[in-house]
Amino acid sequence: MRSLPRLAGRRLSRRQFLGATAGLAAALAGCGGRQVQEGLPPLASQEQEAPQRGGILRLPGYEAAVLDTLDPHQTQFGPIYSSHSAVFSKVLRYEDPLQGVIAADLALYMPEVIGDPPLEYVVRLRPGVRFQRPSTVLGRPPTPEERAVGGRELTAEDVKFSFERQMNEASPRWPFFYRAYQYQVIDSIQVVDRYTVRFRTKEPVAPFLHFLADTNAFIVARELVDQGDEMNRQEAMIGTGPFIWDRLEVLQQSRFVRNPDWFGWDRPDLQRPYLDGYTSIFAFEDAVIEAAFREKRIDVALYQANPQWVVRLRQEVPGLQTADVGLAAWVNARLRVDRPPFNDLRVRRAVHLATDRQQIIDAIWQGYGRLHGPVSPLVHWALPDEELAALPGYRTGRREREEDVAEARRLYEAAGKPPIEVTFSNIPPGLASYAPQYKRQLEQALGGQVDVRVIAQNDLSEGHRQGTIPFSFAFDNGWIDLDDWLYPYFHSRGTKNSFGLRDPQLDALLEAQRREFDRERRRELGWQVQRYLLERVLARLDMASPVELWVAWPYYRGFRPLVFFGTSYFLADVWLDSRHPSFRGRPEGA
Amino acid sequence: MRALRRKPLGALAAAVALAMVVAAVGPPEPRFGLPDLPDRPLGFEMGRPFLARYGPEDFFYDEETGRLARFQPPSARHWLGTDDKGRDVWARLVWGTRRSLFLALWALALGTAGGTAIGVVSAYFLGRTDLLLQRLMDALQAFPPLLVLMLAVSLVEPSLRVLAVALAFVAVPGVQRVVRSVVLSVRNETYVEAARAMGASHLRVMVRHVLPNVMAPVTVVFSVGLGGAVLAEAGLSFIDPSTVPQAASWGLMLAEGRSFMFEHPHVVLAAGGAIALAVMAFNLLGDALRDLLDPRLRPL
Repeated sequence: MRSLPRLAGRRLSRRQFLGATAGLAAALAGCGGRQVQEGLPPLASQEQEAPQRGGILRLPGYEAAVLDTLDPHQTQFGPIYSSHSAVFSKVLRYEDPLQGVIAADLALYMPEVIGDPPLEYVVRLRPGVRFQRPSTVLGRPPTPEERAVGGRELTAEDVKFSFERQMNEASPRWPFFYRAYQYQVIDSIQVVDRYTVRFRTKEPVAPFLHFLADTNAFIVARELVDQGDEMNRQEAMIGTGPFIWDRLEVLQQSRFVRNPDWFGWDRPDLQRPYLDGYTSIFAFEDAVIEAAFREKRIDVALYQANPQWVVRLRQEVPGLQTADVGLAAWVNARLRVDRPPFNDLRVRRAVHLATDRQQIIDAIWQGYGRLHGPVSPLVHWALPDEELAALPGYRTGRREREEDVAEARRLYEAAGKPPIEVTFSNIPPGLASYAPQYKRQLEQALGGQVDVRVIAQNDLSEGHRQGTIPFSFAFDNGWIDLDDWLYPYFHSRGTKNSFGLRDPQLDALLEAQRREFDRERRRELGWQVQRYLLERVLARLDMASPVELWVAWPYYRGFRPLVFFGTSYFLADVWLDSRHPSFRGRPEGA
Repeated sequence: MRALRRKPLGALAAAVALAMVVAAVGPPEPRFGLPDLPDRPLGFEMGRPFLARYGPEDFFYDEETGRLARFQPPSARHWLGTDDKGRDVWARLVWGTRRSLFLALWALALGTAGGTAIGVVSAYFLGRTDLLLQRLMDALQAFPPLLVLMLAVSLVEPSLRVLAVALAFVAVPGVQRVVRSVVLSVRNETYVEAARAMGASHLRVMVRHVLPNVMAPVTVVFSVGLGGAVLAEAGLSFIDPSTVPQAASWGLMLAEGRSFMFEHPHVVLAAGGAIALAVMAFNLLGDALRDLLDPRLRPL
């Protein structure tokens, strides 16, 4: 490690060390659905457990696949969220997305909530948070963007600007602010002083704190937004997060380096990130990933198409850290419910019942997947697994499946057997290659004519926006809060409502869950919405999500599989243990 | 029979080519229209290939588990086993044969026709016509064939027809070069001069007197070119499976099977074996035809 000699002499106090390890342990323990295998070689003493500074973590990822704008408020592409989450900060952040645990990010502490039910949120910002200065780390001359904002202190005005930008209906980019539905609940944002912002909502909104921590809630500097209300340039990726975006080599790799000026949450004394940086290497081939992992050219790995090599590797190399984790992203179909043939509920239900979800899991992920309802089974808000598995369309028993298929055919014939065309996204490749089989499966089940075509993901997104695709089949990012799973998709004013869906009863239910502050009662309301969707709407047919099999070398400390896109700030807690025996043979500059 | 005895490898290659044809064709169905690939190459629809027992996308369930019968070993039900999606490998191989064979035939028919026409015109007229056409062909030949194919399928909506035209485009320079070299010697033959002296038009001389005398090398080029076209199509399907995803293809089978090649090698072995066999057969057939058709290579 290049930087080790410089840092090796540094010692943490016992209190600092215990605090850091306790934090890490809590984060690890809180990551539900994850099983980190025991059996790592024990270390000689606690002193050796002190996080080491330095080193570049290398991991396989999709950050170099830039299939959307780089604008932090306008993208809806998961891997770009991941890059942004390393570079930019938010008022709040998710400490544990699966359990819904929110912590302060730029905020000094959790916002003061005023009113019962709450209508005002007072956020006190950390003083001294400064925008990154890439040139000081990268040894390059500062760009005009850096000259405009680098080193400037982040203030309450930046927070106000970042949210008001996404609420501005007069913006030429208004249709692309996909999280606008969250900020439309805001009545006013008042800058009280340099470090204090007061949000006032139009009505009580239960997930408001989530809105401050969610996917596009990054705080950006006004100076970096151009006259067309865009910041779709890599030079504009200057935030206040733990890492600086060094280089983006499209479809090859994306490199991030440590931000030495990062504020470090509640423990600036730890001087995180421990890493000098990390590199996300774009790799789609199992053989490439396996070879790179075995040679330690990457420190962590997961399968793409064939999980068997991961299973075999785990047996061959004892002591590897492992985790079998569901991914929040999922496969779904979207139907236009306002025009033929899918304006007929019988046709939608027929497709819903005819689709063999277990086959999708087996064909795309070799059996490593989970059935998926309107909300991911990974999060608190999902319908109980046993309820979902007993519903028509989700039942996998042979007899139940036959019943579902018979009912699908009956409905389809009653609707006049209209021809069906399914448009598949071309990514990921496993999904596109499943297209002919899905066609065959639907044809067999419905006894009708089904055509499929595969188009580029960008074209599919544009088709959704324009409402020109009657039946699409694609992968989508997963979300954390109930509201994000449902409101933008199914509310009449939802920014992701590409179905042409207008249902006042559903709107009322979706608005009701927003007003319910009791977590359990809100979950009940969420279940009600999901049942309604499955019984009477069927505009989005949710299929399945993959289970990822991870392996990480034991020297990768603080390993935490990423279940959601947009949580790369977790890497601030990661460090490379060069004293661990498994570190031997790791090439330095690979 | 004498030819068979003289050229046993060629005979074997011809048998493989014949087997491909048998595998690819199916019963004609009473549906007519413009020729299209892969199921209507001659203008009438062909049904399931005689040798395919199932459809290319038919999938099978395991009797015991009720789940997709993935990676089943070869058996009486599935002669070459099943793939990662529970589909019959033999059936996909046979359907892939139809795609590869007819695509190659279409491409070579178009490419050979174009190349022959250019070669004959270029060598017959010589002078500026020849100079212009040959430099154009040099320019075309500078592009690697796979690059041209990828460009074609990225510019227009990919289909097998587009692929066939692109493959033909790639084949033209090679064909015309061979034809031109033959015409250069034929154009000075006395029967050509006699035809000209009798007042025959250029078109008549080219079609009636020159063209018949270049058909032997054209046949050889056609046969050898088939192997190249099969390989190019498989290569493209392998590199970019999304080009024509709706049809079973050997290259696609390779692309899908390679992730599982260590645990379940039967899929890639079947597809790779089919590609290798087809390319070798067409090349050997071309060699044998050349030996048979070229009078200079006949034994005295």
